[in-house]
Amino acid sequence: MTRRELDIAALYRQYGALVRRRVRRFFSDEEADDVLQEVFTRVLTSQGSFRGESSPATWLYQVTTRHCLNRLRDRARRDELWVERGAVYWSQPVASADQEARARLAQAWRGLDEQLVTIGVYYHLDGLTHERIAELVGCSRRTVGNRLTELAERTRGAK
Amino acid sequence: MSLDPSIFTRDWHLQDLALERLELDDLDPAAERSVRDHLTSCLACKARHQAIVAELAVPLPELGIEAAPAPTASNVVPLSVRRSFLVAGGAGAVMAMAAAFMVMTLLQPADPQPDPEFQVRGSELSLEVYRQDEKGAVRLQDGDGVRPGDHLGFRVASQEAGYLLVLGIDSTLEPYPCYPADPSRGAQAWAASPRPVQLDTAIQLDATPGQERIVALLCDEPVGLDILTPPLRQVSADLQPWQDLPTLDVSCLQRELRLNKLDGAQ
Repeated sequence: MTRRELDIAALYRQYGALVRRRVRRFFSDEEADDVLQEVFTRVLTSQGSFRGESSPATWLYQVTTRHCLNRLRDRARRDELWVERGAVYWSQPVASADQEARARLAQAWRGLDEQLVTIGVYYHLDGLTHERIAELVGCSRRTVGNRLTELAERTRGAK
Repeated sequence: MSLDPSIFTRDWHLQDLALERLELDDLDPAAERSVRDHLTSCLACKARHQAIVAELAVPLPELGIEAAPAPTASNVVPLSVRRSFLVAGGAGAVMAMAAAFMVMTLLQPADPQPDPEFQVRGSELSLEVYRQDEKGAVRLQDGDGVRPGDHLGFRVASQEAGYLLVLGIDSTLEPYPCYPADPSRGAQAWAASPRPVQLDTAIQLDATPGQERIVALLCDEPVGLDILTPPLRQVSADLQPWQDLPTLDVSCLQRELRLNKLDGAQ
């Protein structure tokens, strides 16, 4: 067995349940296990992007979030699936999420770029601070603030 | 009072990730102390923690992926043998041409948005597949669904020059050419390009059901589809849908994207 295989198997054993929980924030239970496999397939091909600057758990959280959002965004282009899946996702109870912001974000989803959606999810749905979002997205806190302002303006326009 | 942003949310509760990492024994001692301290005084986080513990305890399904095995003598065709396949492979190539109708048209992706994870960034070959629909070109991701009649276009980037061949394999295990259009011409000379380059071919999918693999190969020499067909058939037969193709030729860089052919009525 190669080192690469060992790494993936070990990552899965250690963090698979964490990844599955994250996936279930975006997808139904029926789909979660399939998406879990997809995430680890992606991990297999993109593990070079893990630079060891954060815990593997944090890196997997980012990879999983991005994969799930991409998957939803692609589906969003297929209107009927967007309605189905979008409803599942945006109706997930999140303690610190602002209901109105969530609704606006859902409406404007399709017109937003990847970074803006990711920042919106981390802020409105996960309740993270600007500082934490900046770490996860790889930008400055100021950029996070500016992008959240932009998000508010654009989603207000979509209301 | 300042809160550790890697642990707490804006409203002074624990992040799910912090609670999960606590259960996985993945926090550093200081963070673990902060989390445990908070749990002693916050009923909401305590309840959420219990729910997370229960959820994490559910057994995981078996991991259905594994790294592609290293090349072996059985899946590497020496140059001398490859050339002997040139004549015998002709009939197969014609059949393959029938499996997928080649559309010689240039697809113009509508403002393609490269996924950062799939940009070249150190990897030596990347493959992007687009489906053309009424709204323009849509980038496909691994595992996406396609339908009979869909038009697919391709973009490739590489850090190295070589000879490029893009082929498709459907559930009949009969490979068909995606680039170049004429399989008898073999792989086309390719200049290194770190930015994705649109290929001047596209395919229209037929009605063969099941998985469709699109594979790009960048080789040291102009290998042809006929050369790759026997090892492809050999390795494809036992391949599970979620597995990558093993290395077909050690002289080639290889990238693939798996698509799922949906029934036209779905």
